[in-house]
Amino acid sequence: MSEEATVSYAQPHSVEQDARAPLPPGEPLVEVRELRTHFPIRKGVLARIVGHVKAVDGVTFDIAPGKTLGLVGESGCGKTTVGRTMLRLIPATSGAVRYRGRDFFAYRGEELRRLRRHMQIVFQDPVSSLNPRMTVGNIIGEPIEVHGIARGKAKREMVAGLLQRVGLDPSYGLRYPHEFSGGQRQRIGIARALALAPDFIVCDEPVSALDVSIQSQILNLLDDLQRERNIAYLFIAHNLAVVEHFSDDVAVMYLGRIVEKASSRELYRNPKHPYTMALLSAVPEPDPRPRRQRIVLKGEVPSPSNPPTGCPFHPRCPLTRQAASDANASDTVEITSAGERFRVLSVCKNDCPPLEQKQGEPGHVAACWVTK
Amino acid sequence: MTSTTHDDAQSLRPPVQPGAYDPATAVGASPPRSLWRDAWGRIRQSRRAMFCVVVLLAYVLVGLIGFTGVLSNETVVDGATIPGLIDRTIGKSHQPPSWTHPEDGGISPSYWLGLDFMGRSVFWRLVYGTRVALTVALLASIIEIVIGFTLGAVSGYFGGIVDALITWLFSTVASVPWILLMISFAYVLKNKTVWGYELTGVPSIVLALGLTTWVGLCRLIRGEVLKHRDRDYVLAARAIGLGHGRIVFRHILPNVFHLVIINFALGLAAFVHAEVILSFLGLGVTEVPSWGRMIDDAKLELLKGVWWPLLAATVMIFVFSLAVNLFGDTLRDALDPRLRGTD
Amino acid sequence: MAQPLLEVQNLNIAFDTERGQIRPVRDVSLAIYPGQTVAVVGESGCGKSVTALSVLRLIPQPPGKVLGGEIILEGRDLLKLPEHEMRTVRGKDIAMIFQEPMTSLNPVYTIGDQIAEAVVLHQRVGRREAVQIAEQSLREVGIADPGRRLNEYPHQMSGGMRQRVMIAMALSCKPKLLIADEPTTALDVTIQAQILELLRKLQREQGMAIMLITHDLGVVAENADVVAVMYASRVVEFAKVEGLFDHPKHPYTEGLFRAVPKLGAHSERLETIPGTVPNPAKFPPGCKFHPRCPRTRELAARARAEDTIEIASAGEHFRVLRRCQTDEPQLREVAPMHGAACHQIAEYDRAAILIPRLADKREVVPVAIVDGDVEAIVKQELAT
Repeated sequence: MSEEATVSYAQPHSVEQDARAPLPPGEPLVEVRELRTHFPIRKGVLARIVGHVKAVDGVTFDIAPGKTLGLVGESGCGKTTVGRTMLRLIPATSGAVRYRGRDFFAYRGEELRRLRRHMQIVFQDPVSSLNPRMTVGNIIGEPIEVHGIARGKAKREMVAGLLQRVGLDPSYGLRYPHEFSGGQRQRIGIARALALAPDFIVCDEPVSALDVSIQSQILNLLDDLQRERNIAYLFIAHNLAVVEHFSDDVAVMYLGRIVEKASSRELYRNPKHPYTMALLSAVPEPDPRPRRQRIVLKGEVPSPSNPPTGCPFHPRCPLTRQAASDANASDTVEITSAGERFRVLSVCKNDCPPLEQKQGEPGHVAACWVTK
Repeated sequence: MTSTTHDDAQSLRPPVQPGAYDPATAVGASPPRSLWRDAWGRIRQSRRAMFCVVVLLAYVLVGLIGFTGVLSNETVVDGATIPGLIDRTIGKSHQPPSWTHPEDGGISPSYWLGLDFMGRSVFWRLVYGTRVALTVALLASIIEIVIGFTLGAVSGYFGGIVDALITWLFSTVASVPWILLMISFAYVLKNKTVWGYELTGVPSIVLALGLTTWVGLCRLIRGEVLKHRDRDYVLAARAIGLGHGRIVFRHILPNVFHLVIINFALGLAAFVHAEVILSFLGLGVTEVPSWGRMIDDAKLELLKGVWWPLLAATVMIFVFSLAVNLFGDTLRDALDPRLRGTD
Repeated sequence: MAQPLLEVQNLNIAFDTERGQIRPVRDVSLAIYPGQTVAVVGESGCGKSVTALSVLRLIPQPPGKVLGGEIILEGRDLLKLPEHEMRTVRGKDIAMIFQEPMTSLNPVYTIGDQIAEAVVLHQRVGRREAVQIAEQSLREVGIADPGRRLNEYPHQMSGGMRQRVMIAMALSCKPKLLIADEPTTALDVTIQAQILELLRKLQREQGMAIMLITHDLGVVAENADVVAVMYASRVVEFAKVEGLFDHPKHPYTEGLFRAVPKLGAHSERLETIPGTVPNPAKFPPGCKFHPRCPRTRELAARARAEDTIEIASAGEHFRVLRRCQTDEPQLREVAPMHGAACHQIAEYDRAAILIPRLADKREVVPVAIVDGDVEAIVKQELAT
């Protein structure tokens, strides 16, 4: 890791040069290794650090060029923090992010700025993600100008082209964000991210603040752009149906960790982690005669400042409860959760399960002691 | 029926802008609306605010008379030096107000507000006092804004140890009663010369006021910048690769600047009052007429039934404060997005 | 047929804004029968929340005003009640829960105080008894250790827990009608499943009616008996939940169903509704949906030129049927007990105006499992 950093310092322009070069087949565009982001909890007059919120706690994944990795989980699971830490908008506690094999965290100053061109972000909130005092033209044109890509008339033409590409009238460049609807603002945010011609974009819940009839427009737009420009996405969302539709692979997060990862088709057909099963089952079906029975999990997501020991899901896990009722009493242990006392497998309470290959497609990994 | 349809059809065909139907927005029909433009439109709708603007412009014009020097310059007539209008004795002391010149009977503004204990024209002294009041308020505001805004923005944006230091500084300054602080500043600065420039009078008041009042603005800006620092648009600017300077000045500053303007407008009246209090306490302006000094001079005369110098100065201050405050309130409503539901 | 519990008739609401008057609710009629769940579905700005608030007369006046209509609760027109009588209706007869449980609870009082206050106000009981009722209602909404929770403050609880408290508070006085305005939108899916299951259980036990305001078609499909789809301040479709999902009649409803990705469908591309959700300040003329309507566009392509008209929307120019652009369609009974407001439904011209009253209940009630052989069930269900 440190070696690579030295290499990149020695050749500051190499990033620019080979950013456009095609990667060897099978080579990932972005690699995330054991990423950790811990936020200190301070207390008292002296603001002493009394603990850490482990928002992201050892996350590893790859994203291939032009592909989409979906990251799902409930609020507080750390999915947003993963995206922001990857782009260094939040400092990482440990771990590495590599872009085209280069350690992104090792860059500083001008080189970092140049590398940022290739990795952009689209935000959830179409209101707060655009500066209300800047015209749309300036919002989209600023990255073009700052990175010395174009100025003056050439810049304006690029902006007009981008606006047109995201489905807005080029004349809108003179207007201000508050004059637009949520869906249009999200298009402006996408145009800003596209301005630097990145090949990786973090889409942080890009449609969850939009009206239902607008969501599909934005999803289709992102889809078209991916095909057209071979952009890789990290698609962060809480809506499983949207993630399944949009992603090639899906990773499910729970309390700062990835608990299951597989291709989106496989994950839906053959879920291996009980949390994934519950999530899938909880999505209300748009069908008034539901065929499925609903699994209702008990209790709530524990606080990431004080996660449960062992497998973080064990206090809510229906599988370990069921397995405990069939197992020897010596292999089980009684716990209290959400006002109930019940037995779970001791291994679930004591040891955190590793992400390991499960029965199914190769590459289908899950972190569970109970399922095979 | 047919004709309306026809009209509608006309209005929907090109050259009408595409998007004329994008109903979620005003896009298509009106010119671009920046938030500043919106605010100005809102101020213009308020008749009260526009009236205040006229009043304040009148004060500025009156103040400009003071700057021209016609009131203060000495003139030499027949070899004798005659002091400027503000210092010239033009009649008996305590001559009551009258429209006309006591001798030739012509209309003369010098006598409109009567004469003071030294037989000087209250009217002209009041006009000159406007110049002093506006100068003090403007210059003190500038010092306040420069210090308060810079420290507040730096403290809010960078946080950490910088924030701790600045917070400590303004907490300390704020914990001393401001009048005490101002008096001590005024004492220290009195009769001091810096680079050969005497700090007596107006400069000493300006410095004393500017250096003691930045705390409120600093705190306000710090809080606001802190809020904006974590907004997505600032994160987006960082993701683009912008430096701190550009983020603070191009992105955050325009979003908090309305607070500076509101603070400035409402602060003007406070500065005018402070000048009056300092001068009244004998720490302020001494050699030129100011509203505060006029009140100070006139306070004892009231017992003798001489009411006009005191009343004139008080009304002058009152009207100014009222206009500034009424305008400031409209300005706040027009500029502060919190009061208008974020759209 | 039994009498409806609540009947809204031709409700019209206006708001005065800086840029003129807007009409967030236009000619809205709907009826809710005892024990029934009526869902009001629509996107932002369609008027669903304003309709709900006006039932409780919680519209700020000014800028809002009621231009006309009646809201009849068991024979009484709520719009004509004096304010002090309305206060007893709120909470006692009709209760409401909101999307954001944090802002609906007062942060400086314990939740016990807040529930007990409502109980004392409406039930003429003493303070001690009110606290007991509060504890009981917390237990009913599935909060563990309710005695301890009574003394907690809202910020000490999670979002799902606060929504349970809101429900406990709303139900403590056993209202006949519960208005739930996007009750699960701010919650995670697993918590949403808990809250919806809780609402169904409470409805079974207490027999109250629910007016469910939502934009989520999945929530509608699993909870509603009868659905009113709102678009641009009007009800554009009204039907039993099965009828609506099996045979949507209005092109907007149809489009909505197609635009939502379905779990396990693996569609390559989503269908879209072009354009944006209209803002009440700038409604198009005629049918409010015509600038986005695929049906009128398709029909216009085959129609005679004089029956069509060219319009511009969302940066596109195209032709629509003239009638859609000039006349606003009414809600008519285009199929038995199924109302829709669209000129381009074959039966529309022959159909009668629909008075939206349907006493029906849904056929299938979703089943929740909390324990049991979860893995096997998941496998089996997903395999089919």
